[in-house]
Order: sequence, then structure tokens, then C-alpha cells
Amino acid sequence: MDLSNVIAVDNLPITNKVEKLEVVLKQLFKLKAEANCIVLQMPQEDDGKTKGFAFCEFETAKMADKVIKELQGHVLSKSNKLYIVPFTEFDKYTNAKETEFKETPLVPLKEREFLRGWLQDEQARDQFLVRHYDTVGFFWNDVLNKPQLAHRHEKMSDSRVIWSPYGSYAVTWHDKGLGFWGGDKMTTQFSLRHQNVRLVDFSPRESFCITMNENVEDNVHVFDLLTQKKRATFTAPHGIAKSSFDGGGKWPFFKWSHDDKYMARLGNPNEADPRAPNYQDQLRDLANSLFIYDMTDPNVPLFNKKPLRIEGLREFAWMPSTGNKSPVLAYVAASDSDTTPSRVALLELPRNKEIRTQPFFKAINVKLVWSDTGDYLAVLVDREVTIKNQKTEHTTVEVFIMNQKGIPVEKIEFDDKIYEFKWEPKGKRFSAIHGDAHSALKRHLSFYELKNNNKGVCLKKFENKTIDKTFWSPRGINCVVANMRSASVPLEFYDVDDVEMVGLGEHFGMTNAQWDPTGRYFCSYVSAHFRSQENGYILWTFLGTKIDQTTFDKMYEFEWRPRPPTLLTGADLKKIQGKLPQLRKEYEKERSAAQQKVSQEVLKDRRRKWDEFQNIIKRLNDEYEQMKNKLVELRGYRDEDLVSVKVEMVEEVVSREEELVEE
Amino acid sequence: MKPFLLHAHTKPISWIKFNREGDLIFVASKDALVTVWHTHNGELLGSYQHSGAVTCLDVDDSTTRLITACADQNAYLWDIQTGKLICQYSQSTPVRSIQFAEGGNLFLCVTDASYKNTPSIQIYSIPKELYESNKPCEKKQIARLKIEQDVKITHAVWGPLNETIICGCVDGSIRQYDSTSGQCLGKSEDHHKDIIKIALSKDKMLLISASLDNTAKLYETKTLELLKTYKSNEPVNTAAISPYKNHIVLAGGIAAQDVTLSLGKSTYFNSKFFHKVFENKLGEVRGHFGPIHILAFTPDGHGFASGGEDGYVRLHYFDKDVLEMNDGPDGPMD
Repeated sequence: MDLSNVIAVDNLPITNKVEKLEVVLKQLFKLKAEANCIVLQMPQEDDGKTKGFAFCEFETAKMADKVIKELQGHVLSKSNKLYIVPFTEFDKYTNAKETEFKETPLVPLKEREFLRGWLQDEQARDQFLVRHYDTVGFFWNDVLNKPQLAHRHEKMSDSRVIWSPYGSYAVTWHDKGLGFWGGDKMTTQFSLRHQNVRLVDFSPRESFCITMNENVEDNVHVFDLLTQKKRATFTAPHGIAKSSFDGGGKWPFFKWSHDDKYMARLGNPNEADPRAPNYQDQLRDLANSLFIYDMTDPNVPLFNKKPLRIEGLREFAWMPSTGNKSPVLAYVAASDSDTTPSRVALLELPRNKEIRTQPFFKAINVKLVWSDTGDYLAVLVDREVTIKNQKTEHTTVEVFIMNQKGIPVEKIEFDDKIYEFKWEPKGKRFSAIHGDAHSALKRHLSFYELKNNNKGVCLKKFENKTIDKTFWSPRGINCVVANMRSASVPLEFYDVDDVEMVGLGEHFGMTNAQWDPTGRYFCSYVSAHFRSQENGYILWTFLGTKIDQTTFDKMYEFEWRPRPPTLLTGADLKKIQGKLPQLRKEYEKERSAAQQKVSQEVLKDRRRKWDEFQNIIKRLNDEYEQMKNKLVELRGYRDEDLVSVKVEMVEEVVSREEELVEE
Repeated sequence: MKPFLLHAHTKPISWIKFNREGDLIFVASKDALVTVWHTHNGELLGSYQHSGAVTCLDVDDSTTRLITACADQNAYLWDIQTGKLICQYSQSTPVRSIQFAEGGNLFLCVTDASYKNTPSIQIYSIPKELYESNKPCEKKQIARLKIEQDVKITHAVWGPLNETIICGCVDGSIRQYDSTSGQCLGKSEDHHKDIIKIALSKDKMLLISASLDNTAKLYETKTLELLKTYKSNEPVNTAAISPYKNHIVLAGGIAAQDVTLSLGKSTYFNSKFFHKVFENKLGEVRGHFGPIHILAFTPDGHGFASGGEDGYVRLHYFDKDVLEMNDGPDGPMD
């Protein structure tokens, strides 16, 4: 008997609505495989519920084959993924011998070292690392005693050292891949293999690590940091890794949603096949596609299984929200024609829904800047205007207010071009360095605040400055403004609550700068990546007072150790803030005691050095006294005989004249 | 403290020297001229014309004779008052440095290597008649002792009582020789780059070395025992020990030929003051537009002079508060 037209379908829902299920199944076969089911048998339990499987007979064997092909693995509902077996193979399954189950030996649990020990420091000091030559020093930032060495490793890295985003690991570069260091003694925790790795990036919550080398293909690896296993491999234009160590502005290649659930990238033109007849079409598709990957799935599939098509896609940025909201992505879609506007849209995932879109006309450049709380999105729109027959550029800032219903947009017009725009971390203010596009010297520094009625108000404008970079304190309120092009970099310290300059410093040859995670100290340094001379760093307070200056020959990196987000709730924080006046008194007492101890120790140390040296001097003086007779003999004179030359000032009255001064 | 700017030279200054009383300052320059100035008003007094770059000079204690080392492969002996050349000491390579021994009867000079000659220190004696008359001496002078070694010598000085000669070398070593036998008595190898100059304290019991490894180090002269290290952030060309305070001054800068290699190099070259005992930096004196090659304290320690690549000599006198500053252990920390 030929049973090739019969199949068994497993994993059906268990229900007592037998007829309904039969209808559904028959329709499914008809719709998906154009197969006519003649007999459908569904065994039932005594209580009338189905057993969860069915036998189906079709008109032809061909139909049965098609059903298997189309519907194998079909998802009927969340818990019902169809599993279909042709009846011809039934014997094979009934005769299948049960093989003995072998228990896979358990891998003994390797205890992970506690990685956040440094946060438990009694004085709550921060750490930083300094690499000079191939030696890496880890220091405590102890303001009273000057930085204290915590660990030191020689030959630790072949090229660079950075911290992971939560400060759990120090990451070092080697020929074979990356080394991860951490724990109480700053020892090797594990390594990730990637030959000749050049660039590294982390997901914001430290779950994934992305590495890139200079290979032409398969040059980007995505690692899961918990398991240290490679999750996926991609191909990025290899020029990124070759250009310079920051990837020439094109790194990170992937951008992450704030919750590590998605990563996204623009299309890579190298993915198109130049030999294919539709090469041009492929290129266009790639240029207009956004690739979003679902990182919750171990296979890292594309979100919705295909790239997201956005005509004219130029730039995108994830909302760096810290709340529990769904990930939101903003993108710029440009338009070449005069009639259709360019637009900025906000896309919410996983609903894949555009929640807001705003058109822009005649924009020549559109830039997205999220505030780090995700409350505001600034869209900087550069437009060309003609003033007195001269073409120049003006910038308009349009702020999307995310935490209000309907996402209102506030427009702030500038009558010149913005060169640098930065949000105050955790705040409602932003700074802008702007000026005439034709003059590189006259730049203005403006601070704006978004008031409660959403109006953007200029707090103050500092005019005609030569500046090009702003460093906001991670806590807001304070910021440092610098002119990095100058040989001796002037540093201006601002308090934005009072909108005034509170301090002024200067660092010769400064190439980089970084605030400490608490926003109390600011470090400016001269990196050997950019300058061969004067390598070293200066530590400043937020008021611009110099507290430490250290020179390190061939110092490449200075990196503050980041802190993970606080575990305290808002209420806890408020409580602590309420106690501040009392705590401050205690701290000040402790501090002055410690200070006194330090200055006494310094004095003691100086006395000791002084006494030691005086002993040597005394011995040498004795020796000299013994030599003296011989010396006089040699010289033929005594020191005491020396005629001392004295210059006397003599005032002499040459003549005297009296004159009446008229009143 | 506004300095006197001594500007007569058109090329870098290579050496400066105060006479024993400190009323005159002698300046040697690569423009083949040696000049002498009044220190109390910065007026030019006279000059001694050479035929090649002058690298070093010294004045005897009675300020009657001047010896100069010249790149034209000669050392010269001059009468200071008349400016007359008295004697010429021919060498086969350029002369790097020169110094009178105590008493002025002997001097040493350092010569470079060439393919036939090894680097050497030569000691000449000056017969009495060269002091007594100003007649030029035509007689060929022969070195009394020649100390030879394989490593290039940058600078050599007499030790206490003329018993030893101490020299700094390009391999970072400081070597000590017996001045009568020429025997090597010891060496120190604390520096890891070229030593440019060494200087002694007034009583010659302490020695300071200036090195390209960005440090100056203080030694006990007799034993070459390292006492202190002063760290700069650029190569140190010269250092000096104050005869009046517990201070050290050092200076230097990137060599002229390397300036283009470093991005946007500074326009300031500073003389840096350190505490002799505590090794901490006390302050800086700005002024030169090029690396500083030579520093010297006035004999009474109330001032100092610096000479640089820019051809200027800056003669500074300290303010009262610097001279009266507490330099003991209880003094100000910075």
C-alpha cells in the first residue's frame, strides 16, 4: 500500500474544539501548499480533548510533499510549532532504538572574581590608569597624598589600554586579541581571541564587546562578555581599522540601544557584488537601509528578518535613555529634491512604529544630538543664507522634548553657524560654540536653558573667544572650555548655575582631557599618541585649581575608571542629600585631620632628608678644611684675602630750580 | 628682577664664566667671538676675535689670563687686559672644553675623536714667563699628559686640589681619572643618555651633571656617590649649584635640529630652580627663545647668568625675598 500521500502532524494544540481545529488545518493546507486534505484523523482522549496530533491524507503524494516543505516548523501559535512526518518514514521512527542517555560531565564552576572591589574603597576614591611605554600604572586619586599607586604591570599591553563602560575590566591590546584585567589585584580575568585586533567597542551595559581588525572580510567580531563566546561575525569596510586608532570617525561601526537589546548600522557598500547585473540597485538598496540586529536571540538575526528600508537615510542615533522605556531610534532621511523635505523621524522598537516625524526644508546638513538622559533630542540644521551677496551658513536648533505628550518641538535660531553643541549631562542646558563661518578666530560661547514652558532661553553669551572644545562635567553644572589648536592650551572653568568663569588654567601641549566620574576633578594630559614631548598630566579641581602635575615620559593614555550606574533609588538619593549639611561637617573634620597628618608627615620626611644631607655636608666641609692649607699653597692666596667689590650709590645734587605750579 | 640683556653675539652662546670677584663676565659664542662685560651695569668691555666657533673658556683667579677652546682645532691663551694672543695650542680635532687648574699653572682641554685620534683629555702646563710677559710665545707646546678613552667626552673638570679629573661622556657615564698618572679611578653610570656638562660647587666637594635623559644629578665629587636627582621634562643641557642658597638651577630644551620634529614647540625656554635637598621644583625663570646652553651663578650667589641658542646672555639678580627665603626643612613647600 502506498502511503506516500499520508502525513502525521505533531505539536497541535490540545483542545476539545475538534471541528474548529480541523477547519483551520484544512484551510492552512489549502492556503500555504494548495493541498486538498481528503481525510483528517485526530485521535482524542476520553474527555474529548485532542491528543495533539493528526493524520492527514491528501489527494496526491506531491501535495503531501509540498505540505511538508511549506509547513514544517510553521508557527501555529506561540507554543505550537508544527512538526510533520511523512507516513512512509513511520517505520523508521517506531523501530528507532532508544540509545542510552549519557550525562555530559558538569564543567566545574569557575568562581568569577569580584570585579567591583574598587567601589568599596573607604574614602570612596576614584581610580585612574596611566600607560607609559608598555607599563600600566593604576592609581587612587588621593587628593591629600597625591595619587597613590595601587597596581603596576610592566609589558601589560602592546598598544592601548581602555576601561570597559562600567569599569569592571581594564582592556589591553595584544597580537592575538584582547586581554581583560580586573579584580582585587588587577589580574588577567580572560581574553578574547581576534588576531591583530585594532578597534574595540562595548555595548552600553557591558554585555557585548565588538572588535575589529584590518582583514578585508569577516573583520568585525561580536563577543558576549559573560560567556566570552563569539556571537557573530560581520564585514565592515576594512579602511576603518586602517585609518587611525579612532577609526577615522567611522567607529563604532554598530550603535547600541541603551538596553543592549539591539544594535544597528548603516549599509556597507562593500556588501554589494560588483559582478552582479543589478549592482547599482544593490548599492542603492544598501544606501537606503538600516540594519538592526536583535541581540536577545543567540543567532543575532536581523530585526523583522530584513533590513529596514528608509529612503535617503543619512544618520541615526539611539536614545540613550536610562528609564525602562522601549528603545527609540532617531534618524535623518535626506531628500535631494526641492519639493519633498528632508525629515527626522523617531522610531520605537520592537513595535517598529514611527512615533514622531518632523520635516526640514533646504537643509544642507542635519545632525542629531541626544541629551544623555534621553529627555531631549537636538536636531542641528545648517542652512545656507545670503547676506550682502555673501553666502554663509546659519544653524537652527530644533529640540524634541521627549518627556512630554506629543513630543513638542522647540525651535532656537542662531544667526551664525554652530561648531560644537553639547548637552549638559543630567540637565536641561546646553552649550554651543558658534560664530561666523568666514572667521576662524571669533567664536562665541553660549549657554541655553530649556525652561518649564519648553522655551529655550539664552543664559549668557561670551563673545569673541578663540575656543573649540567644551568638556561638561558628568554631573552637569560645571564645564571646561578649551582651545585645543593652541600650543599652550588655555582652560576656562565655568559654573553654569551662576553662568560665570570661575577659574583659568593653562596646559602646554595638552592633547586630551577627561573629567573624573564624580565631576569633582578634571584631568588634562599630553598623550604620546599626538606629541613626543612634555608627556604627562595635570589634575585640576572643578574650580580650576591645579592639584597635581606629573610628567611621564612616553605617556599614551590617561583613563579615569568609570563607575557603574548607582543602585540607589531616587528616594535614597534624596535622603542622603538631606543629610548633607551634617555629613559635610564630619567630612571636613576628617579631612582637616588627614591634612594635618599629611603635612606633618611631609615635614618629618623633609627634616629627615635635611638631617641626612647636612651630615654629608658636614663631612665634606671637614674634608675641605683639611684640604685648605694645600689649596692656599696651590692658589697662592686665601679666600679671606679676596677684595670684595662693593657698589655704592652716590646721589649728588647737580642743580636746584624752583618753579611755581599754577593751580 | 629685570635682567641685563647682553646682546653682542650673532650665533648661539656656548659658554659663560664669571671671574673670581664677579665683576666681569666672559661669554663665548659660536660666532667666533669672546666678549667680556661689566656685571654691575651690563656694559660691553672688550672682545677676543677667533677664527672658529668658540666652545668653551676659562679665566684664571687673578683675572690676567684667559684660555679658550675653539672648533678651529686650537686652544688659545690670551692676556685679558690687552686682548693679545699669547700662545696657541694646536690640536688635530676641535677642542670641546677647557679649564684652568687651581693656581692657574695647568689647564686641561678635551678633544674630539677623528678617524686617527681617540677622544682625549690633555693637560698642559703654563710656564711662569707666559704670565710675566705679554710677548707672544712661538714655541710649540707639548701636552704634559694625555688621557685617552674610547667614548666621546663632552666635558671635563679638575677635581679638588688638582688631584683628579672628572669627565662626562656621551654614554651617560661620569669617569674620574688621576691627574698625574692618567689612571681611571672610577665611574658612575646613573644616567642613561649623554651627559652634556658637569659643574662643581664652589668648594668642589659636590658635583652636578646635566644629561639628555631629562635629569640632573648631584654627586659627591670624590667618591662619585649619587646623592640627589632633579627631574625636568626636557633634555638638560646645563646645571649649576648655588654658592649661597640650597638651590640648584638647570636648563636646556629640545635641540634646535629636533624642534621641527615636535609639534608646535614652545616659544619659551626656562631656567628651572630646584631645592638642593628636597629635589622639588621651586620656580622657573623665563626668557630665552631657544634652548639654554650654559648657566652660571655669580660667585657670591646673588645672581645668575644664562646663555642660549638665541645668542643672548641674560644676567639676573635675585630679589630680596629670594635671597632671604627660608631654604631649610621648615621653609615653604613649593
